[in-house]
Amino acid sequence: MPLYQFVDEIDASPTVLLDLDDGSPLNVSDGTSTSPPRRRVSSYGSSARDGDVVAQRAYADRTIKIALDFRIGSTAEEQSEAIQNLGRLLDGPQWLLWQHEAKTEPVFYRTRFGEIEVDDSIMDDKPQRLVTLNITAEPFGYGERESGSVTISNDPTSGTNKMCATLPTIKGDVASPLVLDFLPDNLGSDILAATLAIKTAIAAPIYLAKPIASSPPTGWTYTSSYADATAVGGNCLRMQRASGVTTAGNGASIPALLVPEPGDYRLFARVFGGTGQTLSISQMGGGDAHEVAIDYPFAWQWYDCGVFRCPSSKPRVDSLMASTPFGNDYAKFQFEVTNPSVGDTRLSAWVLVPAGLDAALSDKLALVHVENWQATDTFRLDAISDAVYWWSSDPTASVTNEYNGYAGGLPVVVPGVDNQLWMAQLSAAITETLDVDWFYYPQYLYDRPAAS
Amino acid sequence: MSLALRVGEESFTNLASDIRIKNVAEGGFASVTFSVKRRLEQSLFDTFTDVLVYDTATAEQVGGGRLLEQGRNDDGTWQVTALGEGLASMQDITTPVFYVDQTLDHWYMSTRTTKRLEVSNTTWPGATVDEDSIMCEGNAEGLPLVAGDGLIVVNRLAELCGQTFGGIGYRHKAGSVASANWRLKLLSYSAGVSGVVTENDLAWSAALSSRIQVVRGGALTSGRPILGFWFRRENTSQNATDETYSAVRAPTVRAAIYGSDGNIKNTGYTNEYVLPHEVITDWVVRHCPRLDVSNDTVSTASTEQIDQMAYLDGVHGMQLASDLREREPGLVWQVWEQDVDGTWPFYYQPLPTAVQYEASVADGFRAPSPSSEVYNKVTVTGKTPAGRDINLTLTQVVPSLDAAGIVREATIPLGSEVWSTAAATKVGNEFLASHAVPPNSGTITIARPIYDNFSGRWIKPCNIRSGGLMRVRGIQPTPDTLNATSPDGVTVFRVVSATHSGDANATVCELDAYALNESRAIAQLSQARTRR
Repeated sequence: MPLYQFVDEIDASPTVLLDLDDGSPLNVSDGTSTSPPRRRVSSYGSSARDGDVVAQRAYADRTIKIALDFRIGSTAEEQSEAIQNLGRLLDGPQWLLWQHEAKTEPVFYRTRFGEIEVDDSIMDDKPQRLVTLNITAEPFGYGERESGSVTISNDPTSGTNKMCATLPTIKGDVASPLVLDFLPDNLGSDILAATLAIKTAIAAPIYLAKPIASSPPTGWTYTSSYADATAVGGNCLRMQRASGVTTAGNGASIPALLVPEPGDYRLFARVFGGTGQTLSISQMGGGDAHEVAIDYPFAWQWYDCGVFRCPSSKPRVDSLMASTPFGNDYAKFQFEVTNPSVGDTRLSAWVLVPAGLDAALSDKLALVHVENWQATDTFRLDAISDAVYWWSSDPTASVTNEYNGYAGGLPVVVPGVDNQLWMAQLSAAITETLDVDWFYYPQYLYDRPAAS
Repeated sequence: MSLALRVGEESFTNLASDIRIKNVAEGGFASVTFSVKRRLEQSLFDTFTDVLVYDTATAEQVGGGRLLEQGRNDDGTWQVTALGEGLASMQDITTPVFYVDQTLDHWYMSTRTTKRLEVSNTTWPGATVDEDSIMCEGNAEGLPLVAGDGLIVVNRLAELCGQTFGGIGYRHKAGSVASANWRLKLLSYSAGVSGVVTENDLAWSAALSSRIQVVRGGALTSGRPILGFWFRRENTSQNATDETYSAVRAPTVRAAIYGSDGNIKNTGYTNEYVLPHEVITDWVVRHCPRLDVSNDTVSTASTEQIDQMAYLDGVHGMQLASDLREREPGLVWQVWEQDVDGTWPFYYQPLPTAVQYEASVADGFRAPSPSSEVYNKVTVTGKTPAGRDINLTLTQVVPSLDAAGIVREATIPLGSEVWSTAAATKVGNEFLASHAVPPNSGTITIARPIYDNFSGRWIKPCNIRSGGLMRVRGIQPTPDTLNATSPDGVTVFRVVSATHSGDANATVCELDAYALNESRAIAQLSQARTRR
């Protein structure tokens, strides 16, 4: 028998609040429908051009129609009580479990409210009524929670997951919001958290080696492979400015990088510098330079250099042209350093994080500022509730956590394609790892196959 | 949705609908509006909270402002409006202010020891130019003026505006009675006409002096809100004659102004004019604590010398900037993303002259082109430093009007606040230049990524910023300053406003000129001020 049950939560064995098909006294009859929800589309077309442009689309709420009748011989009291229970349950949000007879996995619908139509067909001592429920519910049915954990390093050259982790196969029919829990740690850092859903996972991390010292301008001394145990790879490019020099330090070159997929990337530079220094970086063949203030003196940081399209020469192409081969999939950056006083600037690595790839099905990137993270507290990026917050297992712990808002979008995973999680701890050492617990609820349009 | 919405530290992305963000060429981020599901009995949002809108893929800020209005409805939705922080901050303070002033009316006689000396704003005897001066003269010919007789005129302009003087420049000429016993002293006072200091002391001379400048950072005491001229007889007495007069010519005062470092400047007051970036920097430092101005964000490219700018009736930042724009149309102020320290950087930069966006008409284009905006003559009116009416007429050749045998003339009032001959000439010529051909105005809808030459990226519609030039394929152009005369199916517009709808994921850009509609006409009327 198929299962139609109002339950208390999404769980393998939830408490049943009302069973619609157990014959005591309700039975589900013909005319029941749990069709996938309709679409809302924003599209543009004109007589000047063939075809439309679909600017945005979303799913509307779902309407579930359930036709019910009563067990033959049930009493009027039983039937009244059943209709009263229905009225109470359909007045507000509830979980409706639906499992097709021959299937092993249910889906859970989150109902918003419902309307009841009653057709009194027989009103004698053995009454019979036909009841039709029209229930408005959230667009997708939910599966049970899927979770996992991953440890991500802050170093693009070492660790199991070097600043990027591939998530296991995502279940569901449509994109699901992801919740990330950053476990207690002594972080006091800004965090980057990005998710990329793309048909074929891109090779990660996208990492540029430290610059090569070539010909420094007058007054500058460059040391390539300057030993620094706290730098990525244990050494870095050191650029020293002599006294009285006012020119910028340029001439060092960054190797070209083969970019796996064209699109927008956010560039992070691992720099150690002093107050007042500025890093100016641009991509050859693509756009104005970005200026970054080096304002964490004498500590290695990942500095956010802004968004670039890489490779710069590759145009944005649509479906027909996407498979046409282009030459030159390389991104080449150039930079210079200005230093207001004598001292050195060290550069050890650059990392590109996807921030809007042409071929991505979903690309979300969040930059979060946190301070004074307590060792007892978990910090959560919650895309389901659309919120960012701390939670603590110890309510008496001092509340010195500071969180100043986030920029960007919270993570999302997409089934049927590869999903990657990119992370960086901007102000932390490269030896710091981030333990991340993740979970999501798969979302379904209809029912769910056993494996996904 | 590809936009994320934050109100303060809370995210409202999932609860808000119909998010619209707007930015404008003069001002930057202009507004954020959205509807949010919220019951009537819930508490109001804190007014003046920061509202921020982000692109979820790149984490770039694409809109933002200060929460100003929240309209609550009983159907469970609230309509919330935030005004761009630049626009809001620049309108926070309406106050009298002056930067440079030549008006003689602001000098008035405060004291005199005898009836036999008087002062007026007239030309001096034997003048060959029509130029008013502060003239002190002995009016009782044949009667003695004794040692100690004198007359003081004061200028309290800085005190009235809550500022201090940065410098004064003037020339001086007396009649042939000139001797060491006739003195012209420049005085300064602290508030309430007390604490007098003599800043300069000249003997009357029958020869026209060179330009005398007494400035802060030099001889002028800092922090003085009142200046005065003291005409005085010393040591011996003398009978007044026809030649007993002394004229202070073309006194020009300057206010002490703030620099981008947040401190009052101690140099530069020997210029008897101000530059547009000096005015706007001073206003922002003084009156807009939420905006952050620095050397990097304010361009010093303009060389436009403003020699009269004084608003005793009060002005706010946007009106001041609009007057600056009349003199220097090449520079525009904008406020965009919020910085990590919570302030909003203030930019005053030249409008780009290279094409930034590449678009086509594929998603919608509409271009009404009113010819009523064409003029071949303009008269600029104002008041001289002595308060007399004056005007200046300028013309230009407009082939379309000449061919039709029509003359169209507009009048621009500068009042006494910003009139000078240089200002009138500049404002008049700029007006004519911008009204030589019908404006190429229109609206274009962008619903797909377009290429941005400056960043080298294909940007989404929500990233389009006003102020940039957009090249649009698919339109027959009309010739104007931006377009070639030969029709080649491509034309260039300036984006003056861009409104992005989060639901539709499309941006409507107004090109070259704001669209003429009722709500904008009403807004302009309510914002208009009459120049004195």
